[in-house]
Amino acid sequence: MKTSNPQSWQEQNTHQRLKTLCCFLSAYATAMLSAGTTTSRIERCVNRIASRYGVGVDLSILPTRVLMSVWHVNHHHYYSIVGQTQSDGINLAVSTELSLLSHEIEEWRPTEEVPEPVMPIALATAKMNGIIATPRINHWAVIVLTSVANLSFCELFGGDLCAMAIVFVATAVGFFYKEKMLSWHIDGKLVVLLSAMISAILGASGFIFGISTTPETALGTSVLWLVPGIRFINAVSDMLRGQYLVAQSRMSEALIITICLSMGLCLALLITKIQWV
Amino acid sequence: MGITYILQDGLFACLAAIGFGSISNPPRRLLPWCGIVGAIGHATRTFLVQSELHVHIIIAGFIAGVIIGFLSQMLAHRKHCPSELFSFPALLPMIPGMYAYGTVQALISYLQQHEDPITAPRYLDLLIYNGTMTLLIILMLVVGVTVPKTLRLSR
Repeated sequence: MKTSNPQSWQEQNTHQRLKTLCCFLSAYATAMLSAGTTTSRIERCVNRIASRYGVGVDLSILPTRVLMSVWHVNHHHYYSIVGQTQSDGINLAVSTELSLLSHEIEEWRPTEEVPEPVMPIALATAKMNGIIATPRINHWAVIVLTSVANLSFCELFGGDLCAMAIVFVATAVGFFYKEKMLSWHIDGKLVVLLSAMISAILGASGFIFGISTTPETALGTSVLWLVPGIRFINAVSDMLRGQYLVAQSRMSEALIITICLSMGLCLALLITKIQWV
Repeated sequence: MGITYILQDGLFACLAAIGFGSISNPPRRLLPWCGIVGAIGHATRTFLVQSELHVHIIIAGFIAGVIIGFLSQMLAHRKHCPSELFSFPALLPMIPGMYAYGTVQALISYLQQHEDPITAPRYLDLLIYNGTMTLLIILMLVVGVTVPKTLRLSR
């Protein structure tokens, strides 16, 4: 809306600036929450950026939403927005790089190319979008690394070499089909259940073919790669900082995944007719 | 229990931390550090639990958590990144996965055989024990990691 009143012009500019900042901060906070960052770090990073741009910010973090209001210092103007998280899985690289971006914004110094006293929002948004779009670790590399990790777990629980080999294969095959099923857009909980069942059936090879002296370790370890460790840690971490709502949501999610994988294991035991508790 | 046993434990815990950490997509350049921190933490816990000290696994987990917390804070300070990046993957080999699904399995078994006077109390006992162990081990690990944060060394 155009107006000839200079004060109204100034107010319009102030409001537009607040709106741009709020949209950026909301996208930033939801990206961090989606990546599985702890709520305390999200709050710290958002406050750091807001303080550098000279605005006040009120932030409420809910399990799948971020409610944000950005205030002008004189409290005459504000802009509020609700951001929705994306379920792309935990991404520590995005969490780390976005945290570093908040420091970059805080420590911004004008240059010849960009003389602004603060980092332009367009530049900050472009950097944020670049971080979010960074590809994940190669799919095959993750399968191999996870299988080696589960093999190591088997060794730590006292499994012999045959049990370790069984666990490696069971994890690799289970992980492969998990990714396949997710790409077919099957429900995540069902995917966990079926992946656990596949891994456990393969993990039961020690019992079925009698090729290991520690078949129970192979079977028990074969589904451990599905345990949502980071979600459990995040939940307790949020709980310790008084973010009970997000903590409860993350803990419920972790428990549901654990129940699904246990049911997958039980189904595998029913199919293979193995008595093991 | 000799030094070889502890080193071997640390090596496999390192592989587990790197492997399970890779699912959460940490920055590739920092992945080996997650493994090293995880190895030190897990080897510490194994030493405390299995040596003559016979420390309980929950207390040993807390001490390992404190050590992981300190190392993560130092690395975060040096590498200019959040300390969770090191501490969370390092804690993964110590997450009590077996206890966690042992809880659900005991629940299912209890529901199946609740009329059997011999096995039902055993499954109920397993259910309570596994559930409590899962919660307390995770809680004390995370509490341990949070302790060094009071020093506020990291960014």
